[in-house]
Amino acid sequence: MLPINMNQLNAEVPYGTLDLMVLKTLAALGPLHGYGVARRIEQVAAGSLALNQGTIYPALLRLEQKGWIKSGWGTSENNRRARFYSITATGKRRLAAEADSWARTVALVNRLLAAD
Amino acid sequence: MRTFVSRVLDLVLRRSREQRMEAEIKAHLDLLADEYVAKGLPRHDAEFAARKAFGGVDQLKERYRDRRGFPMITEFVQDIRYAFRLMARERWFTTVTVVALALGIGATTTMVTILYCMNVRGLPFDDAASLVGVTGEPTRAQGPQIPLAIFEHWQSTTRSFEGLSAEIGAPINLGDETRGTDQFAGIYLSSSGFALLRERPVIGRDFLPEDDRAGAAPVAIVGYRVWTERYGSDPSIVGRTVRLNGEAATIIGVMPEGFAYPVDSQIWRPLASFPAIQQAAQRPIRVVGRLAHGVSAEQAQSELGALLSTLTTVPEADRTRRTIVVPLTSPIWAR
Repeated sequence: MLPINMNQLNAEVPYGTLDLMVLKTLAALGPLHGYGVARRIEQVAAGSLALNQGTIYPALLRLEQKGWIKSGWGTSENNRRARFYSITATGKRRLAAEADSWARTVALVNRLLAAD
Repeated sequence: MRTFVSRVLDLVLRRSREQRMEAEIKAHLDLLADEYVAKGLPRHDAEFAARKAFGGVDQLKERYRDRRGFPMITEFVQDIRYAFRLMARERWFTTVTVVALALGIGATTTMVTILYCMNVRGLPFDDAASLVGVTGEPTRAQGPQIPLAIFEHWQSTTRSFEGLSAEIGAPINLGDETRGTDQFAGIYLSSSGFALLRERPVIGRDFLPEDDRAGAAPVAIVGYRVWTERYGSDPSIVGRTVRLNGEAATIIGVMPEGFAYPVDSQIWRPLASFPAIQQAAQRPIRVVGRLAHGVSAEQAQSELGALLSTLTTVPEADRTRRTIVVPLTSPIWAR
């Protein structure tokens, strides 16, 4: 068997899933700054995702441009000025649709892999 | 659509959005560093670790910029600014480039103007359609031009032409007692040359046959530009004695404004005053003629050919040389 680099295998964030993760995080935890979102995703991933924390910002910008989240300046728990993001009503609808679509995709791929 | 509006706004608010991104990244790094400090790292190491965990800040900014505004427009503006800065820095290179472009544009404009006048607008002469150029089959000694002796023979015998005129172009230095010497394109031509073009001086008189004889008093007609620019439109120019190529001559007339026959000449003199013309029967000259009413260029060409073949005083090679008569208005590239 070929040696497989686990790091390499897990490092890539599947296209589009980062948006979904960000939306879910904001829906679950309420308004959060970019640092908090990145931290939360890292915690949940528990080391299975090699994510540069900076990667979160283009995703946040993209979502904000689409109107799924909104942002404003605020003060963090340890008194630092930070930009807080929160999910919008459109974003919530979108999250439901995306989660549904993701579940179906995963189920499909699982069935394919299970069928010998 | 929402994204589009957001991007348009970005284009306008470029600076403030850039600042927002800076602030956001800084806040994130600070929060991260705080956490490392809380875990017991020294401040400096904590900041370093924060940067490492965050990833490439500059790549991120690039990706951010790509998502905001319209990168094409922003980059285009940046390129233009960069170009101007380079031009300002490389003064000499810029100067040379601008001068080269200016010369290029100038030369092209001149050529186009000349070709346009000659080929599209037609010649600016009365009944220009009957004006023809008389040339010979090109030879090594004469080119397409005609020896003076043959021209004189034709001039005295042809019936196809209202008139035939010979001309030689040469630069002429014009000087006088009060002003410096200027050089102009000059033409030595038959006394009937202007009459053939149906042009006459605006002041003074045209050449007379007597002016175009050996030993005649030296005379010249100048262009309107010479008269206005060099002599301040002084009407007493007629009769004034000037030096032409160092020899005294009298100005007898001024041609109309814009007249610069054949291309840009400003001084015209009788053919006989061309240096040593009397001893040069083989001197090549340009021949221009106006066809007689109802005569075609082809007919004139055969008549001149026939006249030439009976001329026993010229060398055999000249006698059998083909003569070509072409309308002056026909485009150069059609010849």
